[in-house]
Amino acid sequence: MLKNDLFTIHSLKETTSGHYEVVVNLDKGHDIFKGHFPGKPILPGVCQVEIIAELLEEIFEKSYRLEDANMIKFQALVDPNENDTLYFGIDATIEGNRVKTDVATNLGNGEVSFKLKGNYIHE
Amino acid sequence: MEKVNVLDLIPQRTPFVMVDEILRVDEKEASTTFYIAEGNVMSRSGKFRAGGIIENIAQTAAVLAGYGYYKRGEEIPIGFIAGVKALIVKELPYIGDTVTTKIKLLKSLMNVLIIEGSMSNSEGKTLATSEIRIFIQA
Repeated sequence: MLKNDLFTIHSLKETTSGHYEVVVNLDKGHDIFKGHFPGKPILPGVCQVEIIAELLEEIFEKSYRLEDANMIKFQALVDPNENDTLYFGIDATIEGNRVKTDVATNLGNGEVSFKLKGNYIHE
Repeated sequence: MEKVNVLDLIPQRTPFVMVDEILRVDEKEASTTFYIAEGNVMSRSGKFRAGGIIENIAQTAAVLAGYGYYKRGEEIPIGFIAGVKALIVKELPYIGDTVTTKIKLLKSLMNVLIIEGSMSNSEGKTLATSEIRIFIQA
């Protein structure tokens, strides 16, 4: 579980039907940053895949895992000493036991750092 | 092949090392094993998560990328995942499983490697497949 460990949820709002705006704060002192990389802390991009799973759990009150993704893009490096706040824009549509998910994350300056299109499945 | 320590080939360090043993590595292919230990930072609810699977495949590609630098006696550069395509995660491995991951180099551009990779569990069942683009910060 990365929630309340690597990250905390600052705010979570459904701004329009099926669209969620989530502001997440990173713990820049987390051990992950000691190994990725020594002396050069960068948020491992894959952590965002799991932050989204945990945000979907928060939204829908069910546990999810990523099942497939057509596209995940890591467009900017996140140095937690420069950017410890991530702004997730999540389109989430429930289809049976899956959540069809389209996410863009930005760093607060409008720069998109991360994109994901994929399906998370209830587990 | 001489026995090479994985930490001599990749830049990641604990707690974000997601490969253990190198089974083979050459210019085109690499395979590794990884024991999913209790407390792994990419695990939750007794399973190794999809994000960890992507990282494991990418670090197996980092073994391939690092091998060339290692042989030349050069410092191992850091690298980042730039993109993931066609990811399918059929099942998550459990804590206590040892997974085997194979990658094949599809294309090598300037500072970018495009690889396809797959992970299987100790019974040989394929758990996940993906194509990953890695940026090397040389």
